[in-house]
Amino acid sequence: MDAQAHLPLAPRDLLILAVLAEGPLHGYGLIKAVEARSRSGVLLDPANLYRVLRRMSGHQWIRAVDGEVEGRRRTYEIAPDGQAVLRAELARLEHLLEQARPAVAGG
Amino acid sequence: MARRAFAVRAYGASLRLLPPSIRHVDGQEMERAFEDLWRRERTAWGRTRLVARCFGRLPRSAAAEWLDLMDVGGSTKTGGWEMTGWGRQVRLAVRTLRKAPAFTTTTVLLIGLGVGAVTTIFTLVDHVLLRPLPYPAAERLITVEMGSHSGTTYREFEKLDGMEAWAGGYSESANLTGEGDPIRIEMSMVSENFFSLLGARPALGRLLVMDDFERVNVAVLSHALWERVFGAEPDMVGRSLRVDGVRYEVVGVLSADFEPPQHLVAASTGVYRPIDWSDERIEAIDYHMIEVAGRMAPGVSIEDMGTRLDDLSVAMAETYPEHHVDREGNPNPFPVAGLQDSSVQRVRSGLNLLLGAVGLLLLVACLNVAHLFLARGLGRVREMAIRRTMGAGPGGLMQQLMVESLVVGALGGALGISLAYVGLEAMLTLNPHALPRAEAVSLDLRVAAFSGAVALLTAFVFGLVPALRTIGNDLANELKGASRSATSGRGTRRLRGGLVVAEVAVSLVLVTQAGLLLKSYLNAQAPDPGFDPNGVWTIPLTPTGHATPDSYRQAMDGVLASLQSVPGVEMAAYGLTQPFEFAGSGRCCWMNSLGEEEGVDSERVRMLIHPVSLDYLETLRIPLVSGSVWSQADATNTPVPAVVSERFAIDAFGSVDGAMGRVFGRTNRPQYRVVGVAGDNKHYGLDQPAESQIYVPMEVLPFDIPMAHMAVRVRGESPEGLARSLREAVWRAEPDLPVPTIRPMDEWIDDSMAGRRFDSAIFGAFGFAALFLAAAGLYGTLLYNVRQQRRELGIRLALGAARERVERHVVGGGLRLAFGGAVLGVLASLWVGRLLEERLFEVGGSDPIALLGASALLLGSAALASWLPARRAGRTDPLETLKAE
Repeated sequence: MDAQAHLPLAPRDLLILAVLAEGPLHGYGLIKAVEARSRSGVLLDPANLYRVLRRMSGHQWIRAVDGEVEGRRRTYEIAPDGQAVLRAELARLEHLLEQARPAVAGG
Repeated sequence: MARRAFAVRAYGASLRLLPPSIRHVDGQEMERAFEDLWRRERTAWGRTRLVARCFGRLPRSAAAEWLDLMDVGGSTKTGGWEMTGWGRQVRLAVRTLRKAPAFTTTTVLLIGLGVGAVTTIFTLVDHVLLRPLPYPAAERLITVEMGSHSGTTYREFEKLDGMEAWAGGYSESANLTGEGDPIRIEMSMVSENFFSLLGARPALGRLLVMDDFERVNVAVLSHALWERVFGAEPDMVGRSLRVDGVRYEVVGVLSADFEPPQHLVAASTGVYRPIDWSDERIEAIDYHMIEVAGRMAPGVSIEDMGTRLDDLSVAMAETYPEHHVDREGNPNPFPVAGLQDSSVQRVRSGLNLLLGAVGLLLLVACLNVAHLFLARGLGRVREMAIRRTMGAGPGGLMQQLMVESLVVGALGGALGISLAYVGLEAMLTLNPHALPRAEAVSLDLRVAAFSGAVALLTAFVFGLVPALRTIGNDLANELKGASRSATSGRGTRRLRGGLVVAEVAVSLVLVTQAGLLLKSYLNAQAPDPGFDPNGVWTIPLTPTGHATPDSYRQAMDGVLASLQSVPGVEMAAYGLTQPFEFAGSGRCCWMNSLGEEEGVDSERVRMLIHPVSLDYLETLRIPLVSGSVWSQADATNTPVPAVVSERFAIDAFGSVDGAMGRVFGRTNRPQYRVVGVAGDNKHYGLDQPAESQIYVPMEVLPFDIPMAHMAVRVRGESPEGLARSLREAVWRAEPDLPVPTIRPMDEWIDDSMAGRRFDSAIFGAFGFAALFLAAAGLYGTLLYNVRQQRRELGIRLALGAARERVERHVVGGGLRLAFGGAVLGVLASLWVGRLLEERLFEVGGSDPIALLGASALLLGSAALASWLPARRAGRTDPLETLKAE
């Protein structure tokens, strides 16, 4: 898979992947976790969240955890392709920041 | 688990906006996630924000999902749909609309309100009135009205030509025991062709066959009972049940989709068994029990069957002159009617009324939408002209405006469907029993589409105005003059004025009707029931299976004693029936309709014979006007001692004093002697006339009618858990007796008002909505006019016109429109009021208070709606407006 082709990621997608990279979660947990770490105001609602999750599953970035049932809720985990995209996006952003920071520091 | 919060259920319902394929995969997960979020938010503010976020974004996600499904987009990354041809138009429209949030919100709300209301009501009407009954060839199903028929008559029906098949049935309450707590069920006795006529299929085992009618004690269960009582047990066939102490062998279970025809048997029937044709009572010509329906052969008309049934009624009158002839010697008729018509007749007028009201509301909403689009469009004429000069073709402009209307319409439609879900649930809660077939109601999206289309069409037509105005006009002129001219052209101004007048008129009609119904609801609550319901609890029982009246009475006396020993109980008594149980249906168990009583002065006296226990009158606090209640020792005397109601005393004997000591009764039936006269009381509803009643000792009950209504008077406040201790008290005396309900008398009275409450609540809500819309429309129009005339007003003020004068000018313009609307509205209300009259209680259809009140309310809101723009006009700063030009 060519991770570059999918960049840049929307902040929402980035945050979801980042949260899942720390461990499997179900829908509600994802909404709360994204909310908690987002000062940029990414607030998810269930309909939108599952739309994003479905798209990511389609790209095989994430997958539903088989058999692991927590209170009947479906749990998602990050897949290798997802790790790759996440890493690529973080690398891109870091590179971008490196380019931009001197301007602020100097100003 | 506790019942889920309303918001959670609403969210679950709203998820239906998503395409079904998506919903099946993720719907449940979404709902659970929302539920978790909802539970975690504890504060009202947090929850409000959550609801706003989740519901607010849902339409957008739904639109994206649908567009994905239709394969409109390319890359799915941004949803994609924004980027292609139509998608771009939509995006542009969304952007334009976001710049006018007030306009967009109002329009969406209006369309949502209209679509929601129409969808709710029309769904009900469609299910109850229009949709064919769920039976094969339902249009050929007929019934013979005028009450029920004897088994002998039923057999005569079966011999008639021109019919494919007949079915008959009747229902009785029965007690199912031996499966946990005893429960009361409805048992229906049905004829041979009952199931085949109605196209019923079994889910398990088989339905009834001819042989079953030989042995009778076989049963077919309803799907609901099978699930509820037997937990959908797969080995049901061959098991046996005990109903009223008789064993039945289960031969089958009906499929879940079978709806029992409510004209024939109880809708909640749990057990079906064959009619026992060998029963003497069934055969007896004067024992009318069986309700019938039949299917005509193809090509036979209902008139043909009418003629054949008329012939039969003449023949029956000749064969049974004792029974099939009325007092004038005419044969008792067999009126024929379509099964569908006859099952919904009772509610037809009410539902049509609702349909009319909601139609008016949709009309007001559409008028307002037209208004808003017109106002907005006229404001954009200049923008359009500029675009034209910049090279935009009329086609492109029209397309863009159409997409805008479409987006607004779609949002409003989505809102309307959500409202309809909530509305439908609310309607069914308000009026659970009054509608036949109501349990079959679910939201009809086709109806939503229809009403949505009406609103959309309005938006389309009026949304296109600005584009149309630029076509064929001299653009240069438009740019120079149109937007500057003091007014926006006489034609459109008149149109807008006309819209306001129409809105006010229609709203006035709705508000007046709401007033009439409210007044009639209040009037209907006012009458004194004639007894004291406070602190009385009632326990209807069906003590079946008693061989003799004595054993029935002993059992009930035992229950009575047990109830009396419950702490807090002051008195207890029982009667065969109880007030308000049969409210609305006007049918009770033991009624001598037209007593050909000997010893009664007037010729025909309708009376309700009410066997009661000794303390009944005292327990209900029905006052004695004269004489006294019989004593226990006298109860078995002949003639039987009776306490009669005041109305009966006057109807039958001319006066209370004249009634005392009189003896009356039919030949070959018990004779009664009047020992006391009691105050009148209402039996069928507060809005019904007081029934002519006679109270007689329980001891005269000639055969065992399996009914008894316990009434318990509680001392002071009802103690906590009273219902449970009463239920246990009944079971201490009669362990096998089901106790389906224990409720305060007040609740029965309250229930009897449900229909009127429903009417006035619905009309009140519609009237209020219409009032608000009319005021909003007027406000919008005047505000727009003021803006348009800013220059003119500025010049006037600059020339020294007094501020008050300018304000008066604006308010006067508004009130003139409102007044015109009110005059039309009053005329229309007078006409509509006539249609409403039969549903009103002690209020005329042209009640002046309702008319004046509604007009005052409307003119008041109109004055307020005009005053706000007027104040703005008065504050116009002359210099600023002139500079702005």
